[in-house]
Amino acid sequence: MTEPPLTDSQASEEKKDDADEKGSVKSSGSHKDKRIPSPALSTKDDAAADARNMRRIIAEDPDWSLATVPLLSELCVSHIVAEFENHPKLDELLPKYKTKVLEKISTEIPLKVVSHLVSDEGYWKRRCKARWEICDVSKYDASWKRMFFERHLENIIEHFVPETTQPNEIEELMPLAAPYIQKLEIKQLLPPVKEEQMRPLDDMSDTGSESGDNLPSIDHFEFSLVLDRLPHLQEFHVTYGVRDCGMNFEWNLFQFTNRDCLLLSKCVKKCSTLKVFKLHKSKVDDDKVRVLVSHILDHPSLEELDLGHNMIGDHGARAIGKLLNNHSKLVKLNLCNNKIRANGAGAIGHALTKNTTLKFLNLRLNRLGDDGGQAIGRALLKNSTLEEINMGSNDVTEPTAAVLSQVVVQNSTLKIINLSCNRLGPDGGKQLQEGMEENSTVIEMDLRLTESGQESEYCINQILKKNQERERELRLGDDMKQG
Amino acid sequence: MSTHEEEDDTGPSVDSTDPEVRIAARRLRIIKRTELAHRETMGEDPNAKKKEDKEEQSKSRKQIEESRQRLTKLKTDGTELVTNVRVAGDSREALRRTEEEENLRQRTEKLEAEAKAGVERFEEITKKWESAHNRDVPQELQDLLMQQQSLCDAMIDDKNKLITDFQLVARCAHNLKIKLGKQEKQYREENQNLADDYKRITEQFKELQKKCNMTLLFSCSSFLENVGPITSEASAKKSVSAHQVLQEVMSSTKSSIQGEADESELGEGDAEIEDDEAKKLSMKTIKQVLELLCDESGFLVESKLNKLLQPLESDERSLMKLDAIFAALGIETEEDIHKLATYFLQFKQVQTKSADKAGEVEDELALQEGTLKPESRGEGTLVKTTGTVTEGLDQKPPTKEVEGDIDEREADAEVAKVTGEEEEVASVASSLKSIADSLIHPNDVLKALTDFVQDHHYPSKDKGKYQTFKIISGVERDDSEDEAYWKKYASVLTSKDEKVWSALLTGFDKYSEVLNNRSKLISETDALRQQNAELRMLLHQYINSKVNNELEIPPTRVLNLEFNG
Repeated sequence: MTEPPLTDSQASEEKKDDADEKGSVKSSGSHKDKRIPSPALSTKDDAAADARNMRRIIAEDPDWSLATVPLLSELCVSHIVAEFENHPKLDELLPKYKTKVLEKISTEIPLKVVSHLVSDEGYWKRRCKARWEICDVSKYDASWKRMFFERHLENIIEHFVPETTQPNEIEELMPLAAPYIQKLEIKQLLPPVKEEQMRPLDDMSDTGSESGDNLPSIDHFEFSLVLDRLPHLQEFHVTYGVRDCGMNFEWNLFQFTNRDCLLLSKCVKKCSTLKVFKLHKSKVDDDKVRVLVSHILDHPSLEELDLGHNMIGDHGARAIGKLLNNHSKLVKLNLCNNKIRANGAGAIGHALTKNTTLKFLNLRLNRLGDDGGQAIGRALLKNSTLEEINMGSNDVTEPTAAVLSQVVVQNSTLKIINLSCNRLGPDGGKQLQEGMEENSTVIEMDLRLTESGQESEYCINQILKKNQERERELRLGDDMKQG
Repeated sequence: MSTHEEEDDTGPSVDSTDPEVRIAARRLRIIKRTELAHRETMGEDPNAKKKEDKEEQSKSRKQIEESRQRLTKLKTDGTELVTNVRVAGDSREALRRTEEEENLRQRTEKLEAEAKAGVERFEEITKKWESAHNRDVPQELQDLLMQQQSLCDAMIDDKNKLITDFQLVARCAHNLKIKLGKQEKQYREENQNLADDYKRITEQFKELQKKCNMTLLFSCSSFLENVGPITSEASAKKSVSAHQVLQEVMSSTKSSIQGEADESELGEGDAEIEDDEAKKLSMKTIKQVLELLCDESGFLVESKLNKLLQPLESDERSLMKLDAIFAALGIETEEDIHKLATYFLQFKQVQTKSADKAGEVEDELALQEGTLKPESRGEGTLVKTTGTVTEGLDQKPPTKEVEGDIDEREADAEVAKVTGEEEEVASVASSLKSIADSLIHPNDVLKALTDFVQDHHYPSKDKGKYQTFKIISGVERDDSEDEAYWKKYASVLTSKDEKVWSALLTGFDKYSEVLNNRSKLISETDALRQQNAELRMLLHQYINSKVNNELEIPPTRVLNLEFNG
C-alpha cells in the first residue's frame, strides 16, 4: 500500500477536521508508517475483525461485505473531496490523486475556491453540463472553463436589475472570472424597476412612443463594472432590450439612454484588447452613434464593428465615415437595417475611397437610394481593399447597376456583391452582365428579387462559376506554394 | 557494421578464411543481385505504369472534379434556399419602407401646402386689419370685423379638418390595437366559459350519478311496493279469506285471479262474457284508453323527448309519446295493449271490490254490465252475441238486480235491432259518454299502470331484481309493514279450519291405510283362488286318467270311500 504524500500542514489540518481519522493521522507528520488506520476503528473493520474470530456469524451479519478495507490513500482522497470547499488541496497532490479528486469534487463548490485553483477541463466540463443543457464548447475555443465563466458572467449581467440587484455579486466574481473571459455576449439588459412605469394601459395608446422619453433615468447596467477589469476581452456583444417580454411589452423596456451610451462608449474606448464590438437592436440613433464613434476613433485593436438593427441616419453615417477615414483598423463593418440615406452613403463612400483596411461592408436594409448607391459605386472604383459589399434592399435601381457594372470591370478586389431586393430591372441586369463579362474576380453576386431578367442572371451565374473555379485554382496554387 | 560491409564489398570476402565472413559476403552478394534484378524491372516497367497511372489519375480526377462541382452546387443551392427566407423578408420590409416614405411625403406635402395657405390667409387678414384702422364708420367697421371673423373661422376649420384627417389615419392603427384588445378579451371570456361549462358538466355528471343511486333505491322501494298492494288490500279488508290468499299465491297474474274469482262466483257464463269483452274492446275504447294514457303518464316520457316533440303536431306528438310510454311499460304487441286496456276498466272493479266487501258479486256484475253495455249499444254487430250472453246470464241469474239489468239490456238490444242503423249514430254518441264514464278516473291511471306493470313483469326479471335489490338496500329497506304483512299470513288459517283440515288429514290417512290393507288382501285372495283352481284341474286329471281302471284299488275309489266314509 502506498501512502499519499500528504504534507505536514495538510495532515495537521485533517487532524482538526475529522475526529474519525484522528487516530490514524495524529502522528503522520513524523512517521508515515503509523498512518495506516487500525481496522478496529471503523465499524466495517470491526465487522471484518470479528468475522475472522467468529466465522459462523459472518453469514448472518447483514453489514458484512466482501469489499476489502479501502486504502488509506482512497480514504484520504475522499476526505479531501468532502472537505474541498473548506480546505482545498489540489496542487500538492500527486497527479493520480489529483485526477481522482478532480473527478469527485462537487460542481457546487463556490467559484472563490475553484476558479484559480482548478484548471482541469474535465471539472469545468462537468460544471458546465450540470448547469446548462446545451453546451457548445466549439464557440469557446474548446475551453470549458472559459465557457463557464463567460456564460456565468453573461447570466449575471443579463439578470441584473439596476438599483435593485446588489453589485456585490459581480464585484466578487470579477477577480475570479476576469482572467478567463475573452468574449461577452449580452443578449438582454433589464431596465430598473420603477413604480411609475406601471401606468394604466389606456395611457399607452395616447402617449405612444414618447412614453420612454418622459422618464429621464432608466439607465441600464453600467459596464464599467465589468469591462474595465477584463484584461483579455476580445469580443463584446450587447443589446439594450429585454428578451421574451411577451405581452408585457412596453417601449421603455427598449430604451438606450444617453447615459448608457456615454458609459458604454467610455468602456469600449478603455478596453484596448477589444477586437469585435456588436451593438444591435438597441435604438442607437445619430446622436448616440456620434458619441460612440467619437470614443472609438483610433481604437488600437477594434477590427469588427456591428451596429445592425438600429436607427442610424445620415448624421450617424457621417460619423462612421469619419471612423472609416483612417481613424480605425476596422476590417468588418455591419450597418444593416438602419436608416442611412444618400447623404450618409455619400459620407461612407468618401471614406471608402481613402480607407485601406475595410474588407467587409454590410449596408443591407438601408435607404441608400440611387444617389447613395451610385456614391458607393463610385467609391468602389477607387477602393482596392473591400472584398464584400452588401447593398440588398436599398431601393437602388438601374443607375446604380450601371455604376456597378463599371466597378466590376475596373475593381479587382471585390469578390462578393449583394444587390438582392433592389429593382434593377432588365436594363440594369444587362448592364451588370456586360460588366461581368470582363470581370474575373467576383465570385458571388446576389441578384434575387431584382427583376434583372433571367438571361442576364443566367449569364452572370455562368461567369460567377468560372470565376469561382479560377479563384479556387489560385488558392490551390497558393497552398501548393506554401506547402 | 558499416566498416564491415565495406570490407566485404572491397575485400575478397568470399574467399575469406573466416566462414562467417564468407557467409555474410554471400548473403550480400545475393542481395545485390536481387536488387539489380529489381532495378531492371523497375527501369522497364515504370513507363508502362506511369501511363496507367495517368489514365487512372485522370479518371479519378474527373470523378473528384465532378463530385466537387456537385458538392459546390449543393452548397450554393442550399444556402440560396435558406437565405430566400431572409431575402423575402427584406423585400417586404423594403416595400413597407417605401410605402411609408411615400405616405410620409404625402403628409408632409399636405401639411406644407396647408401651412402655405394658412400663411397667405393670415397675411390677408392682417392686411385687412391695417385697413380697418382707416375706417371711421362703425357700420363698415362692424362688417369688416364680421368678415375678418368668418375668415378666421374658415382658417381654423381647415386646420381642424386636417387634424381630424390625420387623426383618422392614426385611429386606424389605434383601432387595430383596440381590436386586438377586444379579441383577447373575447378569447379570455370564451376560455372562461369553457372552463365554466366543464365545471357544470362535471357537476351534472355527479348529480346524475347521485340520481342513478337514487333510482336504484327507488326501484328497490318499488319492489317493496310490489309487496305493498297486498298489504294495503289486506289492511283494507282486515282479513283475507284463505281461499283468496291461496289463489293469489297460486296465480301468476291478477287477471287470472280475477277470472277465476269471477268464474267461481258468476259461473261459466260470466267467464265467457269476460273473454269476449277482452277481445271485443272497441277501437274507440282503446283510443280513449290510449288518450288517457298519453295524457296521464307523461312522466314515463323523457323530458328531452318532450322538448323535441314540442314543435310536432298533436297527433304525431301523442303517437311518439305513446311509443315512448309503451317502451317504458314493456308493451310490445297489440295483445298487450288490449291487456292494458282491460286494466283501465278492470281497475275500477278492483277498486270497488276492495271498497265494498259485502256486495262484491253484485258490484262486479254491475261493473261488467257497465263495460258490456256500451259494447252492445255501440256496435250493432255485437248485439247478437250480447244477446246470447244475456241468455247465458238468464239461465243462471245470481241476483235479481242483474236480472233486471239484463232485461233492460235485452230490451235495448231489441230496440237496436228494430231501429237499425238510424239509431246507431245517436247510440254511438251516448256510448262514447258511457265509455268515458266507465273508464277509470285519470287520477287512478298511475295505480292501474303500476298494477299492470306488476302483473306483466316477467317473474324471472323480478327475481333478479329482487336479489340485487336485497343486496343493495338491505339497510335502507323500510320493514315497518313487513311484520303486519307476514302476520296476516299467520292468521290466514283460522283455528277451526285448521282443526277441520287436520281431522281431515288424519281421517284420510286412516282411510288410505285401510285401502292399502284392502288392496293387499285382494291380491292375496286372488292368488289363493288361482291356486285352488289349479289344484282342481290336477285332481280332475287324476280322476279321469286310464290308470285308475288298471289299478286293483283305484285312487278314485279310495277317494269315494273316503268321501263316503
